[in-house]
Amino acid sequence: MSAQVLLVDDEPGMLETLSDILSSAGYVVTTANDGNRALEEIVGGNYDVVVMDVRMPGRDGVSVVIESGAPPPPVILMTAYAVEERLHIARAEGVHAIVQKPFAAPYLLGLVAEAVAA
Amino acid sequence: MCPEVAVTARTRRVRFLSLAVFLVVAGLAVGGSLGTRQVVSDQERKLLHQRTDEAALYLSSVFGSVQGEMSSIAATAALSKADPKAFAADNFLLTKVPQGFTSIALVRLGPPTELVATAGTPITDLGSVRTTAVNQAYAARAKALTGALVATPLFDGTGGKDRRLGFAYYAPQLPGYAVYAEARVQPSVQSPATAGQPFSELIAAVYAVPRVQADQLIAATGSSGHLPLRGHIASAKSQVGQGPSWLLVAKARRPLVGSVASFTPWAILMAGLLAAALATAVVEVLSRRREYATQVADDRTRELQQSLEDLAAAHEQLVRQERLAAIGELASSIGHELRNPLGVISNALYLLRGDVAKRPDAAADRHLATAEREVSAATVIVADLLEFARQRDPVITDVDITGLVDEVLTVLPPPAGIEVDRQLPSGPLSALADRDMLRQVLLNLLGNAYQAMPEGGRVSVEVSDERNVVRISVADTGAGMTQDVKDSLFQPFFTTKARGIGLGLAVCKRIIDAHSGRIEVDSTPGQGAEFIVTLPALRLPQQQATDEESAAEVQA
Repeated sequence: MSAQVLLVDDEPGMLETLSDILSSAGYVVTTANDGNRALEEIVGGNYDVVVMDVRMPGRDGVSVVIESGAPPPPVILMTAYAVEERLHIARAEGVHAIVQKPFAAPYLLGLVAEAVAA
Repeated sequence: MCPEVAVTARTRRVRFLSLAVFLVVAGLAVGGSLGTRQVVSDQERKLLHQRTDEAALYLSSVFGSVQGEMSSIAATAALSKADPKAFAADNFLLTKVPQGFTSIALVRLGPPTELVATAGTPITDLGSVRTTAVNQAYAARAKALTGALVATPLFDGTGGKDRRLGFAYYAPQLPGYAVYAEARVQPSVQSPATAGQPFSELIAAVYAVPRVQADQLIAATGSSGHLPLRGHIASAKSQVGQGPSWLLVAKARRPLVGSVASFTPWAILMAGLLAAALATAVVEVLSRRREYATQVADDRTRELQQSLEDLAAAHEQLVRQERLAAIGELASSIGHELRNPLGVISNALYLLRGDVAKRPDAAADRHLATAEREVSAATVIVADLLEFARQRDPVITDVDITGLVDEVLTVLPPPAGIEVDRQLPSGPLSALADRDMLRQVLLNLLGNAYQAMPEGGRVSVEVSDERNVVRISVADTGAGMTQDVKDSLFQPFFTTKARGIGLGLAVCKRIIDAHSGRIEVDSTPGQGAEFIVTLPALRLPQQQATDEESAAEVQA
C-alpha cells in the first residue's frame, strides 16, 4: 500500500512539480494551496506525511502544525524565507524537518522516505 | 600646527614682558634714588662746610677774647711801669680761675729776651718756643694797631708731662715788654672754645698748626680715639692772632640735612622696587589670564572643529549605512522572491532528467547538466546575498556534521568529470553550530572547489574531531592561487571568477568568526587549494552536565 502524502504550497508551479516528483516516486499525493485547506485535510484525512510551505496566505505552515493537534503525521516544512521565530516554534512543535528552498529533489525524497518509515 | 609649541612661545613672550616692566620700573626707582642721594649728599657736604666755617669763625672769636684779656693785663702793667711785684700780684688771681691760664709772665724784649715777672706756675726757663712767639708778636706789632697776639704751637712743659700752649702779646702802650700767658692743654676735656653751638652737631678736632698733626691737637669733641677723622670731612683754617693759623677738621655727628632727608633715597628706592614688583605681578597676572583665555578659546575652537568634523563624518556614515541598508533590504527581498522560482526550476529539471532517462539523448543530457549547474550556482549566490544582507547572530544547536555534509553533497552534486572523496568518521559526529550557516559555508566551499576545476579533478571533503575541535577540510586539485589572491580572499566583493559577486568567502569568514572558529586557506599555484574550518568545542549546558556526571563517575 502506497504512502499518503499531503502537499501544501500556495505556489502553483511548486505544487505541480513537487506533486509530479512525489507521484513518480510512488506516493499518493493530495494537494492543498492554503493553510486552511491543509488543516481540514490533516484533521479529516489519514496522511503518512505532510510536506508544507511555511509562508502562505491565511494560516501559515507553522500555525497549521500548531493547530492540527496530537498526534499529527510527521511534517516536513519548506521555507523560502528565514523567519527565525516561526521556525523555532516549528522545531519546538517537533516537525520532522525544515528544508530551505530551493532544494534538490532527491534530498526531499530522502526526508519523505525517512518520515514514512518513522 | 602644534598647539604645544604655540603655548610655549606665548609663555616666553609673557615672561619677557614682565621682565621688561620690572626692569623699567626698578631702573626708574634706582635712578630716582641715586639722583636724590646725590642731591642730599651735595646738600650734606654744603652744610658741613658751612658748619665747619662757622665753627672756625667761632673759634677765632673765642680767641678774640683772649686778646682782650691779654690787652687788659698789658694795660695794667703799663700803669705800674712794668713793676714785677705789682705784675705778679695783679695777675696771681687770674691764674687761679678754673680753665684759666696756668702762668702769666711779663717779658722784656731783648736781646736777650728775659722774664721780668711770673704769676701762677713759675716759668724757670723762657725756652725757644716762648721766645720765638714773643719775637713774632713783637714783629707783628706794625700790622696791629691795638696789639699783636701770637700763639705758640703745643710744646712739652717741664718733664714732658704737660702739653702747653702759649700766647705772646705785644701792646703798644707797654713798649719794650710783652705779656706771655700759658695754659695746659687737655684735648679730651670740653673747653669753652668747643662748647659753642657750631660744634654741637660736629665731631671736630682743632690743631695748633695749619695741618693734621697728632701732637698738636688742642681740642677734640667726642672721643679722641677715632682721630684723625676720615670719611666725609671738612676743614677750615682759623686765624688766631697774627701767628700761624689753626686747623679745624670736622665731620657731621649725624646727617645735617636731617634723618628724613638722608633716608629719602632709600625710601624712594624701596618704594620704587615695591612698585616694580607690584607692576610686574599685575602684568604677569593679566598676561597669564589673557594667555589662559586665549588657550581656552583655542581649545574650544579646536573641540568645536573636531565636533563638526565628527558630526559630518557621522552624518556621512549614517547616509552610507542607510543606503546600504536600503540596498540590503532590496537584495534580501529579491533573494527571497527568487528562491521559489529557483525551486520550481530545480524540480522541473529533476522531472526532465527522469524523462530524458527514458529516452537517452547525449545532447539533452549535457544541456540538462548545464541547467542544473547554473541553478545550483544561482542558489548559492542567492543564499550568500541573503546571508550577507541579514547579519544575524548564529542560533546554536547540536548539528550532525556527517548528515550535513551528505545533505550538501546531495544539494550540490559534483559536475561531470569531478570526483568527490568523502573522508568522514565512521560514527556520528556532531558540533554546536548554526546549521543553516554551516550549511552555507559548506555549499560555498564545495561550489568554489567545483568551479576551480573546469577541466575536472578531485574534491576531498574531510571531517575530523580532534580533542573536541571539529575540523572540516575541503580540498581541490585545481589551479591553486597566488599570495596576493590569498591575502584578499575573504574580503567582500573580491572575486577571481568571471561570474559571481564575490560574497561567498566573505560570508564564510563572517559565519565562522561568529562561531569563534577559524577559516584558513592553504594553497600554492598549480598545487590546488585546501580550505580548513575549525570550530571550537562549544557545548550545550545539558551536555556539559552529562559530561561532568560521567567524569564524576569515572573518579568515583
